[in-house]
Amino acid sequence: MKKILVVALFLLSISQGTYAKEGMPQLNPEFWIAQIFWLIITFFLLFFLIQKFFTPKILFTIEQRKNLISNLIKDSEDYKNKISVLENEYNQIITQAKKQAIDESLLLKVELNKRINEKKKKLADQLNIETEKVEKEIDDFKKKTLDNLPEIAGNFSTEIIEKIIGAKPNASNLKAIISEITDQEKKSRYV
Amino acid sequence: MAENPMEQFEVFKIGPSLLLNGTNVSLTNSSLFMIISVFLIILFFALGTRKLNIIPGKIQVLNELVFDFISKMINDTAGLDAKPYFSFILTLFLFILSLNMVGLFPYSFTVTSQIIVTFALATIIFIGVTIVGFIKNGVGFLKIFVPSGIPVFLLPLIIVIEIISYLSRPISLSVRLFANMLAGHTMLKVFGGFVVALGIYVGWLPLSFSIALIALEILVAFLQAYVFAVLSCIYLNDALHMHH
Repeated sequence: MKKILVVALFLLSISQGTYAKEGMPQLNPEFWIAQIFWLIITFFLLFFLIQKFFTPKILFTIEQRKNLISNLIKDSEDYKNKISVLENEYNQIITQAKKQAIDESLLLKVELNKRINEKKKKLADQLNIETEKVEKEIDDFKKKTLDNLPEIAGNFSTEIIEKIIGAKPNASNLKAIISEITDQEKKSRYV
Repeated sequence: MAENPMEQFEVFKIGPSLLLNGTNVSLTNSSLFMIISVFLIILFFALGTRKLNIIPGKIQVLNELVFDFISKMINDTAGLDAKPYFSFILTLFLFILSLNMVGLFPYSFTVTSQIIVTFALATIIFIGVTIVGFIKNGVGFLKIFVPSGIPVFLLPLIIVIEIISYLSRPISLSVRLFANMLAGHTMLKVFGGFVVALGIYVGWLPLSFSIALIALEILVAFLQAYVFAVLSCIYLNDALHMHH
């Protein structure tokens, strides 16, 4: 019911009210001159302000920015060129240094090998001398030990026998026995 | 009863009468909105140019965008020779755009829906372009009415057609802007009336149309300002370069 009422009201408004006043107010010449007058005043005032104040300011700023950007681009290109020159120099220096380092390391290696060999030889000679010396000392010591052995064995046997029987044995007999055993031992070892 | 959709275009006097040599130049609602529009443009530029920096602020960016947009438009349509007329075309574009946009606010007035205003603007362009043409080309500017490569026997007819075509420029320029703004605002008013008349149950349908129309009108407001400025540039190009 409400919907029908609304549609009816709508149709009524269209048929009676909407186009009650006919014609275009724009075609009424009453204020034409006044509108042209104010149009010219406002339009040319705006034109004057834009032409005189705003355009120069903004164009100057835009121009300044363009100059700054072009200068920065030029500077950056200069720097780029300088960097490429420096990079080339750096690469050349690095290549030369590498080459030099390789040559020097080869020379050093040869020198080092030579020195090592010399040292090795020297050490081997020293070692031989020392070995011979030590071997001689060992032999001398062995010989000396064998020479002293009857005396040591005599003293030791005297002490043992004295402890067992409670009296000192005859030293000359003991010495003879030990000397005989030692001779036999020497013969069995060195023959 | 619904309101007359044409009522919104009525011009009426505001304040005391103002006479200039016996001619009534009183301030009207139309004049008031011209002043408001100009004030808004000045405010826009004043805020943008208050503190100009190499790295621009928000409003300065907008200022420069407008400058760039108009500069490109002039370069594309009229070439580099039209550079001295940059400020004029910029003023024209912003003035029409501002009048169109201000007219979209509720209870405001659309100045560009007045045929006398658009016609006066188009006439300013027409007279200006003709003067530029004569200054640049002298009497040779009249060659614009004589297209090249036309058989001699057709020339009288073609010249008449060209003259009529040339004289109709301010009419086409003004009527295009006027008709677009008039039609858009009339439609908005009619649909607005439907919303009120149909009430809450069915009113949403014309309301949604109204919203879509407002979006369209914003586009039209920009587009018509652009078209007016582009056509002015094209006329200027004809005067500067004489294509015929």
